[in-house]
Amino acid sequence: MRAAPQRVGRRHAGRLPLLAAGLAALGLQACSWLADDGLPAWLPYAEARRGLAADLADAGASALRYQPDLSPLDAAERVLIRFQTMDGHMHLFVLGAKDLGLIKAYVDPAAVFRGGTWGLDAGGEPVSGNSGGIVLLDAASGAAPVAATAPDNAYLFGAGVMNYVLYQSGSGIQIESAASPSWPSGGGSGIPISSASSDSFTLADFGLAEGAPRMLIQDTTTDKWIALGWATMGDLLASSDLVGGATSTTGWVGPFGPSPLGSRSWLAPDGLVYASRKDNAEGFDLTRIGFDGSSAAIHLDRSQDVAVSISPYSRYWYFYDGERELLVKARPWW
Amino acid sequence: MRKQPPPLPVLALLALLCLAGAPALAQNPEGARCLIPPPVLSVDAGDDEARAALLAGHLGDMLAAELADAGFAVLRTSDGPYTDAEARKAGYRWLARSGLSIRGGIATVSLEIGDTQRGLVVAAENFAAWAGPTLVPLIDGAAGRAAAAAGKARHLSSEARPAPLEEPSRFLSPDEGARVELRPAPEGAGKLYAASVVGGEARLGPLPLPQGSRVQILVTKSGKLPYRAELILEGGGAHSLPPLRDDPPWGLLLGLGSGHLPGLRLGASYHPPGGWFFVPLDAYLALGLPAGPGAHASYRGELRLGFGSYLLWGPDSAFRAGLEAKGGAVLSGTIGSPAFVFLDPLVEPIALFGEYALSRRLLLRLEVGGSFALGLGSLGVMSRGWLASPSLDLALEWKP
Repeated sequence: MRAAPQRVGRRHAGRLPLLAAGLAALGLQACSWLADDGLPAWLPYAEARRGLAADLADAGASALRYQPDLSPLDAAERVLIRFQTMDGHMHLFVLGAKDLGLIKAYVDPAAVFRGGTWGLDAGGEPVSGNSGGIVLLDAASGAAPVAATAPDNAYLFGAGVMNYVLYQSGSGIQIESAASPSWPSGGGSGIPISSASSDSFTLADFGLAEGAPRMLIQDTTTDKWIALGWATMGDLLASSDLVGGATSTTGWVGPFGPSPLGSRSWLAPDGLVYASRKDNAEGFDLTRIGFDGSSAAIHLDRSQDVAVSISPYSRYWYFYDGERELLVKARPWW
Repeated sequence: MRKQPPPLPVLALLALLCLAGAPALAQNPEGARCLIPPPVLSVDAGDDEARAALLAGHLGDMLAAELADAGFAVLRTSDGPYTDAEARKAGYRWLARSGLSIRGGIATVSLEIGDTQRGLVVAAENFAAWAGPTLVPLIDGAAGRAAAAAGKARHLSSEARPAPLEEPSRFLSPDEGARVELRPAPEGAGKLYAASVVGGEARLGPLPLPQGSRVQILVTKSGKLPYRAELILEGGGAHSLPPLRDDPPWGLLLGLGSGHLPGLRLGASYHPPGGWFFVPLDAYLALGLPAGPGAHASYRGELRLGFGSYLLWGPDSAFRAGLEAKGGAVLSGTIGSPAFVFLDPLVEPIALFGEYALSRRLLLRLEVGGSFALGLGSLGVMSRGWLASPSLDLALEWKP
């Protein structure tokens, strides 16, 4: 008699410990030492990329270094990235803004490179300066010093035919100007930040968005932030009060809480961007508040060893992954 | 007192069987035959021998009648007594002995029915009473009880001892060289008997099993799917086995995965003969739609090659489970201009899977695994380390 085949189970007790070990291994996924997975949030917005490992190695940069400063300057078709190593050296890389190709690499440039921020002079050349001097970045010959100085932490920029030096002075800002190619040496006009308030304020950032002044102010009393905009330098200079006289404003926003990055807020071409993170959560959010009141956020999975750069001088934002030594230029997410 | 009977009565019994009792007895099973010699009578001088003879005759009559009613095929002899061996040799499984002794007007009655095959007394009655009319119903009762007990014993012994298989069990199979294994049921417990198919036939035994035994057989051959069945073995004859089906070494998978992005999974697996190991090859594709005004569509493609082992349940089981290990690479990129591609090698050192056979060629498979990204610096987008979420894949595998 032939019966239908039967599917009968036969347990192999000896193999159960292997399966149990497999389950335990998968349980390790719950441990906190986990890498990010999935597609990074910046990938869909990527416009250009560059691995800097070879550049840093060629420049002899120490592996122990701080997160870099990035200064994108679209009008000059330059992106400047500056590394400070823990052994006291500085490495400045000048990249092309379009595809992040390497234009020039500097090792321990002049002291003026070590401080201040980069702007664009009236001629459209990258410029930086402090009390040690003012330099223009010349791709052919390197740094071209200018016979002038500027206060430490000043913003140097050009608009129209004038070169300006802008810095905080007490509860207001001071704006000095001179006809290009000269640079001012004192004088200028002071504008209070907010004469209607007795709070303390800090000038957090300044830049030009295609020639239009932008300013980021922090109210250190309330820990709130505001982005201000004017259509022209003339409008800014005519203001009797920065907060009250701005053409565009995001309004006061914040507090933002602790930021996993060096900065908590950045000045964007038409608004501000701030970083925030939930307690004990991996990664962080970047939220852009526009002058029109709009809000848009992007979540980045990692907050360790990363740097973000957002500037009114560029309509792109930049993400630097220190672990992979990868610089990414990205389109705005808003 | 018991006398040792001479051999001649045995021959006489055999003659009686052939001439008179054989046709009737031939209609009755051998296990029901009962030999009833006359009761052994012992009477003291001074007691009524005639009455004693009457009572002894009644004892024999009642014993024969009650045993007949209990289903035995009885044969009363005129001489005796007989030993168990003599009765067994004459073809009688059961032997009913009786005795009547009268001393001083007191009768002692004994009844004993024995199983000559096993050498056991299955029923016995002993009592003493006044040797008068009141003895008759006592004899009737004792004979009835003894016969009932013997009948019950006969019923139990016939179930417990079926006839054994006397000839080898033959299994006809077209799969030359296949191995035929046999175990008594239930659940395949007991000793394993095995033989190979030679010349289209596998012969086992004669197996030390009773006829009508239910057994489980397993037929296996390299490169073939095993065949299991339950059979009932009868004496003689051959069991025809179906041809073994080919065990397809290749399987194709189509499924959905959800580890990092929900995606489509295509795969193939190679199963070497044996049915316990396999080599999986998986391709996985997930698409990310643009999430914002400036975003391009993005994609993630994976290609993994590995090694797997079934750990629980055999190749013919409906459900199996095991472990896999794979390695491969992930391509992440954007669709549009400019387009980017990032490469991330990773390993999946451990993945648990379970599969359920919907049919012989279609399996439903669930797999859970953990992946470790190796990190290639700026060539990739993944950091070095375990990926945060385990991959979860549901797939259908088809074996063509």
